Amino acid sequence: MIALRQASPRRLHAAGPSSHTLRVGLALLCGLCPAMAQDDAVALRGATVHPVAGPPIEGGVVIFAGGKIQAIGDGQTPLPAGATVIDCEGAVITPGLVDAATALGVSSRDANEQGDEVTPHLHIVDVIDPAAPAFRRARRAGVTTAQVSPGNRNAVGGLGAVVKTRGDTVADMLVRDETCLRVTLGSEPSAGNRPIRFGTPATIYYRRPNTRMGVVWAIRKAFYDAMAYRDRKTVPEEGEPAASDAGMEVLLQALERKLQVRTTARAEQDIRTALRLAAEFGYETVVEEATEAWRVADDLAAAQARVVFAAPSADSSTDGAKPRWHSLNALAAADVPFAIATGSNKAALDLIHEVTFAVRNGLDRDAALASVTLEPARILGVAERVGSLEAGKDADLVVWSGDPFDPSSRPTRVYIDGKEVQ
Amino acid sequence: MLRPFSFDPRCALVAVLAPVVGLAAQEAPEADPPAERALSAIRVAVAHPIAGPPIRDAVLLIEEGRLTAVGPADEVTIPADATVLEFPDSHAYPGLVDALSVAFGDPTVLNDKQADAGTPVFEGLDPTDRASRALIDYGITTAYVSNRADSTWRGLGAVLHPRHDGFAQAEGEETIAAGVQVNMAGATDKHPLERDKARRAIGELFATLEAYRKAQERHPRKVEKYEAEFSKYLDYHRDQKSKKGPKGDADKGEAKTGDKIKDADTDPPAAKPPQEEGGENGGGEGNGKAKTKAAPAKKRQTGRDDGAAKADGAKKKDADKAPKRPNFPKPPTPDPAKEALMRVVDGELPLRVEVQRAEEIQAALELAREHSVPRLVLEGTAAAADVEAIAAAGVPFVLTGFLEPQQPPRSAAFERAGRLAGQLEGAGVTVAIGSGSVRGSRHLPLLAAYAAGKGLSADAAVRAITLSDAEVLGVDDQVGSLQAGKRADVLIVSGPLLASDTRILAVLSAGDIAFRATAAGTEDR
Amino acid sequence: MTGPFPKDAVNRNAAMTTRAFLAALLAAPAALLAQPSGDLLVRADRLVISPGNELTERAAILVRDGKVAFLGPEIPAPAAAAAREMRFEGTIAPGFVDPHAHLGIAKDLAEAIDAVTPDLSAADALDPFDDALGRAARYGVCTLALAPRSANAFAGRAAMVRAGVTGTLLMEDAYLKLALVDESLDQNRFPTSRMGAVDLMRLSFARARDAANDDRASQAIRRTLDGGRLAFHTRRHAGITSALDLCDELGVQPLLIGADEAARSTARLVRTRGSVVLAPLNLDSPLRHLRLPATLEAAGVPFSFMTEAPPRDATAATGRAEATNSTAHPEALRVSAALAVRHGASRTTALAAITRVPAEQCGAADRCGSLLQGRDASFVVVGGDPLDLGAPLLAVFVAGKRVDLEDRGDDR
Repeated sequence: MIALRQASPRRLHAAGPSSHTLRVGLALLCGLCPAMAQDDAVALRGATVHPVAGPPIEGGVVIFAGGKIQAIGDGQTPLPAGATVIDCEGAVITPGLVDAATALGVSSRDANEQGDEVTPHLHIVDVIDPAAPAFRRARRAGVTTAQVSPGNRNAVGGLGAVVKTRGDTVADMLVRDETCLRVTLGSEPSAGNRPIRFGTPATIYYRRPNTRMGVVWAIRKAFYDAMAYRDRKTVPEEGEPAASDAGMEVLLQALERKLQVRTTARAEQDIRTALRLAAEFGYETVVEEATEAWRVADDLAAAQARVVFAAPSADSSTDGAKPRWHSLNALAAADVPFAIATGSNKAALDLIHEVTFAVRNGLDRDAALASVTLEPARILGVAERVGSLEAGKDADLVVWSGDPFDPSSRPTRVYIDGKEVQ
Repeated sequence: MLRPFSFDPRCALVAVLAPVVGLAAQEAPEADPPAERALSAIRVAVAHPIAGPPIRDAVLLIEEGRLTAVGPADEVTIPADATVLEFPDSHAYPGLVDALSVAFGDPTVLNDKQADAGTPVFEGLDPTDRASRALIDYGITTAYVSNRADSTWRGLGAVLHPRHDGFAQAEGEETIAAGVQVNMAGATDKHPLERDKARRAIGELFATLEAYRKAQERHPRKVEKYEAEFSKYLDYHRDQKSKKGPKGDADKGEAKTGDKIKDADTDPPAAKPPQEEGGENGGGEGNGKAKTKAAPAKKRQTGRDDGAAKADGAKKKDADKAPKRPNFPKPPTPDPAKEALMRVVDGELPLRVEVQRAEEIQAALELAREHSVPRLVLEGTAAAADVEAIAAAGVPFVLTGFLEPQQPPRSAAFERAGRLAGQLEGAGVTVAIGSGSVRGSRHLPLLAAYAAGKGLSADAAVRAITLSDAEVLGVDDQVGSLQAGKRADVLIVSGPLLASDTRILAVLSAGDIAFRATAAGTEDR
Repeated sequence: MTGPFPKDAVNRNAAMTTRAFLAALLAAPAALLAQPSGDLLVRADRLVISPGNELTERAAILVRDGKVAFLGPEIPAPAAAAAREMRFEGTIAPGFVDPHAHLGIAKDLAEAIDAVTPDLSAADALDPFDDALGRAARYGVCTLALAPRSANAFAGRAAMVRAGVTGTLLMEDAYLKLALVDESLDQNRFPTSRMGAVDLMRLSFARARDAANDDRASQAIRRTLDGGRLAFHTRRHAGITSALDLCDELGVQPLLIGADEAARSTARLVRTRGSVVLAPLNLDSPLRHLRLPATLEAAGVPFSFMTEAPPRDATAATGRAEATNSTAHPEALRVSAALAVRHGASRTTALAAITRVPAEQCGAADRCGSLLQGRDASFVVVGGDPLDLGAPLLAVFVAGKRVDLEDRGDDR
């Protein structure tokens, strides 16, 4: 984890990794000491297991204990003595789904700071409500891990975080904080702003940017400011170096490629701008939403950009971007790594139904499953913990009543960290 | 007979057939079968009949939804076949009566500014309102509902009995029309002169009642006269026909004429041959009915019809032989507002006037005097009031909205309003308490306690949410006290009603257990 | 008065002295006539020293110099004999304490331009002749915390004030108020989101912890962190979570003002020994608010009531929170406590919620909230239990002086 909150006191969330370590330790301990492992070991037997990291196993077995997956195998896998064995004949087991772009547990009001257009240092974890009904709905639909980002009303919005969809406190849920810096292109950041024409500005909304062009200007200015800040910090022209600025520090991390930039871009021109800005400043970017990716698949491939494609089922054009049902096929054909997410579209379906939609329109089934499990886990930098069924990873898995891409299938059991969710 | 108002026709049927069974059977699965519950007895530590002094170790007998006996355990023998409910260490009160509520009121109805005096609020009630359905759990067994719009006329209030499945109508007609609501308080932001104008308009409407009543009384007489004249006219023509008959086809002619007379009044009579008086008389002999009807037609007429009659008479003298076909007298336009006000003037319905200022109280009393309204009821918070004048007029007061400690512009009013209850009681005015809101209705005992804390005596405070309310609503023969013959609405609580930590143990509505506290908690709803 | 800025304090003292002098000029003759012997002995049927600790026999209280000198059976005979005696049929209970009030000067307490103003003190806006102070005393609210409004992330410091026709400043640092409500986010400046507000708070605390920063705001925050109290005004669960997170990081005891949804955080509040100031209850309160006191009591979370009701959905109606005048009425405290009892709270806890707990929350437990020896002789005499609304308020004493309960029409 990058310590972007240098100026802050020790945060509660800082307990995240340590508790994670504790859990891993516990799991290892459990593995070493079979007597202990028996206490909470669970074995799911008889289902078709899709580990994603490997080929599907018919009649397979998944064993987990201490919140971690202990073993995956075929029907011959020995079950630990004393384990709770659950018969899943006819069911399909997949890793818990990972939604790489959500606003779960945050209200638009909480997540959009309108006091400034550029607020890189704000943390979405500060406002996640663990008790929000949206989390309950998501985990019941099989989503066990989600990226939560600041809203898209700012040109540079702040820092996103990856959380599990269950927990009493944000610290319990947190998988990784400061996963990306949210940058938004298009018309949203400028919506509501008004140009100053006469007199004195009466509200904060009399400000730049007012246009698509202005939004890019605001982002570019932010990074140039950060570069100037870096220069002043390291080589003070005269007197003292610049005072530490939390926002600038965050932008510097992005410039140094230590922090991923998540650029929301829907229309073709915005996607191209996202790639251009990334090349210009040398930061690593993931393009979010990417509605018109079908037009620029080759450019995305050339730029080695990754895509978080939002709501393939959405059929209305947002911000001038025209959706196409074959968008994902185009990305797959161009070998652009992509994840499917629900994104900011209010009409988005449950994540599994979005993928099903893509499968129905020709996306390869294995690629589709990976696009909501391992691919998003890799994009979010949490693939060492979630995204596939492998020994040692978090026991996040979904037992489906049948083929997950069959619209009539539903999750019968969902486990997060080895515990069944309600 | 209890007439429940419910969306479920089956429920309604069941309740109409067996009011005692009601729907409590559905609500309380542990309740006994109806046959046994037809007769039940309740034993409590103290019963507060309100109509009399408290009774220690009391027994209440309930049969067919009515109280049949209330008295000490050593005087009232419990029949062997009665279901006995024991509530040791508890107090029994009559079910509470909210003298001003908005229970079951749909917002659009409660704020209907277009209402006139005769618009019944009952027609817009929503029996599915959950908050109102829960009122029974708080011991509210009777509530008066009225339009609360910011307009002068608020229509007819309704009395109903909240239930878990909607509400039951009150005995008699009270459910639909329990009082005519008038708002004299008006909007606070109106200019005093404008308020004065609105007040005068009330009196002006009352002043038109006399003419309306006369017009209505006159109409039957005009109809009688019309009938007489018409039969005269009919007879004349029939007579003519019978005279002509031998010449033509009698049957055909009769049928034709009859049709014509029935349907086409624009058609002039086919022939107007001169005719002697004898002819008419002859017809009269043939039709005794017409003759008897003719007598009242000679009564003295007034106004325009008088003139018409005179003209008729003149014509008769000139050309007596052909009676003119009379026109049916135009009936007076029925006006529900005036109908309702006439019932007020006749003492059938109370006139409930919302007042907030001294001048409004004065105006209301004056209005009642001037237009001889027998049953005036004042309602409101009325910060300042001429208590003596109210007492002299013998008008009850429904206090409402005085426990709202959040109104800085009117805080002075609020502070004095608390004391008004005591002052009114001191002067001998009947004080009733109304909540004015659905949620507030739940805290009726707290409202009474608050009034008690500001000077109302404790007895009067309890009375102000039971018997006094029933009196004001005109349903004191049915509810408001624990007396034999009244509806078996009983509230059983753990201690004195006005104490803060008193818990509701059970509520009976018309003999049915509508609410019973669970063993674990005090309130399970 | 221990203000951090001596110059201001002096100025304020001067202003206060002038007014206090005027007040004294008016009050002095009456006081001299009324209490020639100095001591006052008040007897009643029952004396609640503090909630749960009461005398039912020989209930009496001896007041000397505005303080509680002796209680009940311990009153020495000579002192009792010399004192002027009053007898009531009823209960003596500690004067009510309001932990969050804006009185009649709400407009003067919303300094909204800057988001971080911890160096503002509500004491500077106190009008000792505020009608609301007289009204508070008439309803038994003897002590109250005059708090800045919730227009900023750091709204400023609340001051303890003694009610009465002439108010008296008791202490300046009741608590430092922070706001995470719509009103603080609708001020046309950063922050407009809770995300921004929490970040701003965290940065401000971090800056204050660094001793190198000696701006006034940092000084004020630093002083609060060194043994002062922090109060968060927040209503919704999400805001409560943010506030509790911040308190955890800072290692301070949480004090939540107006936390309507505290029921979902009881476990955390118990663990961190936090407490809650509840918005007043009224007849129209939803059931979940009416039952919250009983829930908090069952969980073991101390709570109190304030008179100040949140400006409900003011932002929804007008687009922004307006600096309207207070909608509070002092009687709301007793009504709220009675409603809490009606909905399952115990009488002891409910009485504590308007006496002892608010005093503790404001750090003024050694002055008010109970009638232990040495505390202010601010108490009410009620003709019955203080939590039965049917019991009339017979008398109110503020610092040993009896309050005229008649409304003189000066409070419109």
